Amino acid sequence: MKESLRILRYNTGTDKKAFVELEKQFDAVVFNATIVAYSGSSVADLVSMHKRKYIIDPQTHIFQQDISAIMTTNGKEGDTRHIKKSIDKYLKQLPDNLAKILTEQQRPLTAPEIMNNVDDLVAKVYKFQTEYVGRYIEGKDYNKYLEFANLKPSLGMVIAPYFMLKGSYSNDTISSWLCLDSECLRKTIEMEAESKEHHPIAAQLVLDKTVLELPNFAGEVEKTYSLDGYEYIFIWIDDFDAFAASIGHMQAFADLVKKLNRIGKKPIMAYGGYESIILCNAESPVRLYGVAQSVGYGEYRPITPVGGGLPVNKYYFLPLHRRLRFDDAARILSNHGYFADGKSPAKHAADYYSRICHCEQCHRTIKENIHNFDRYSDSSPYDVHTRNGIVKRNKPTYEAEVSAALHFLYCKAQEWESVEKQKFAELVRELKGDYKTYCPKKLSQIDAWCEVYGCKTD
Amino acid sequence: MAKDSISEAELRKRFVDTYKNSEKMKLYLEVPVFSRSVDLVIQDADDLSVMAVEFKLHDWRRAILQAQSVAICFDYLGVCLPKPKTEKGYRSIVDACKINRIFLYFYDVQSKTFGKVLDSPRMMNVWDAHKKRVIKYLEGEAHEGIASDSKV
Repeated sequence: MKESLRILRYNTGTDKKAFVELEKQFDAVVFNATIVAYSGSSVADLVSMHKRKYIIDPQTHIFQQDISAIMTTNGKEGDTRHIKKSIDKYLKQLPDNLAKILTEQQRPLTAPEIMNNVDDLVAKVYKFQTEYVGRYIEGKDYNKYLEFANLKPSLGMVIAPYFMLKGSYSNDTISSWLCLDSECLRKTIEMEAESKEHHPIAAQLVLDKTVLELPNFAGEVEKTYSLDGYEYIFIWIDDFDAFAASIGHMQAFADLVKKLNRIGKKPIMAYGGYESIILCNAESPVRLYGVAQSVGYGEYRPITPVGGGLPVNKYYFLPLHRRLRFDDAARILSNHGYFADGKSPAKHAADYYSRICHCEQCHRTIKENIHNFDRYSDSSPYDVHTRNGIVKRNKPTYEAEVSAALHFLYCKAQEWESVEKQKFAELVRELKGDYKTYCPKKLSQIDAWCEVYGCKTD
Repeated sequence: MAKDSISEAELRKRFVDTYKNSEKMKLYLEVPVFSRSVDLVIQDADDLSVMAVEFKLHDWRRAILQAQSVAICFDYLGVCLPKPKTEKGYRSIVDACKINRIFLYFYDVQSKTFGKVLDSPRMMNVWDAHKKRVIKYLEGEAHEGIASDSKV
């Protein structure tokens, strides 16, 4: 395995174009188990044709979620709420005893209930990750060619079943879920040791931000995860953005990562932005060993699904390492004179390439005229019904969405490259300098981040 | 409070009714710009400059922010608000608009009239490419007549 893993999350079919174009820039692709269960055949095609290493997030936290978070309606009149099809299909692969509590009693499960079925759960989750996609590949016409050329896709790692530590839980309840996490991990390691194939094992730690600040939480985690036989721990903190978090949360997260580093584990951010990628630098005092990010939505993700909201054009502003609303990005460029008349559009474009972004997608979109930057905001008007009547808004065109997604992924590739090549102090200096130039009002937050993560450059 | 007796939509409608017959300007309701919708766009019939106007009954600071969010596409930005009852409130709004280069209309609830109390300088750093896109949309609306109820 590489020192730090660049991982891409694949969410929907619309991610495919960006995924295929950037496949070589990433070490592995992660699919949610529900997507795999629902679209096994498409996932098999995708990994066979484009990405040999894949990982399946087993999403066992589904058992703990309030039933409303996993239900839906199809919007038709008379339709009753039902469990989402993809979740229902995945539940059929998991122990009946557990799935029935969700589907029939329609309530979340407790840690003791799951503990009573832990052997069955670990076995079924292991089997799902190691066999489900392979079964689809075996049924494909192209399978014989993959076998002949020895090009069969392989599972990058097996993730042990895991459960979420919610902010609403008491300390005792958190301890019981941690105990279950530890048991699942131990049994997965045992199961792997008995198997013929050898996959790296990973744990996954999922929690609310508030749990980070509980007294001695990092110590509890250290105790839970001090097991031999595995290397990686995915960390997923509900809607956590370290560049915008409070000092308390930043400090608690740094302590957690340091504790995991101390017991020889390699934390990977399950959803992370540049503030995680930069910590993959070999000189970082608080060290991460990989980051996963999605194509289609933000780098920070709430655990329980939320509504999608109205679609808007977004653009990843590389110097700030943030996805901004297009108008905010355009305003920054405008305030820095990129659209001013004093220079030719070609000269402005050249400035843009040297100071803002020189990715392949930007060259394709902007060419030699800075005003083509506007293409990232291509949109079409549509009607929205509001309490004040019908209003018109713009929604991004498909082409603009794809361009923005490709630009985002090319930016990620640039970020990884600089994090792997540059000195940590140099990266931090650049980060501060760029915030000072393009977003001075957020500079104090970046300074605070630098203070906590041990990167004093001044 | 008297200003509560009309809705924001009503405030805008009264503004439009007051100015729609002016030969000097064309008015367009709910113009999509970026990912939002500008309450009213006024285009000067002579020099074709475009102005974005936001209407609010209560949160005037938000009106200013909304106007600013489309600043790079318009020659002028403005807000239209009910006239405050106190001198202090009046001054706060006028000062904030001055600082932010935003023109200001007050609606007098008693007399049911609008008055322009502050002019604004032309916006700087306007991005012509995107302004043209807005104008193109307005031309499309004008061409379609009032089918979408946008041009008034």
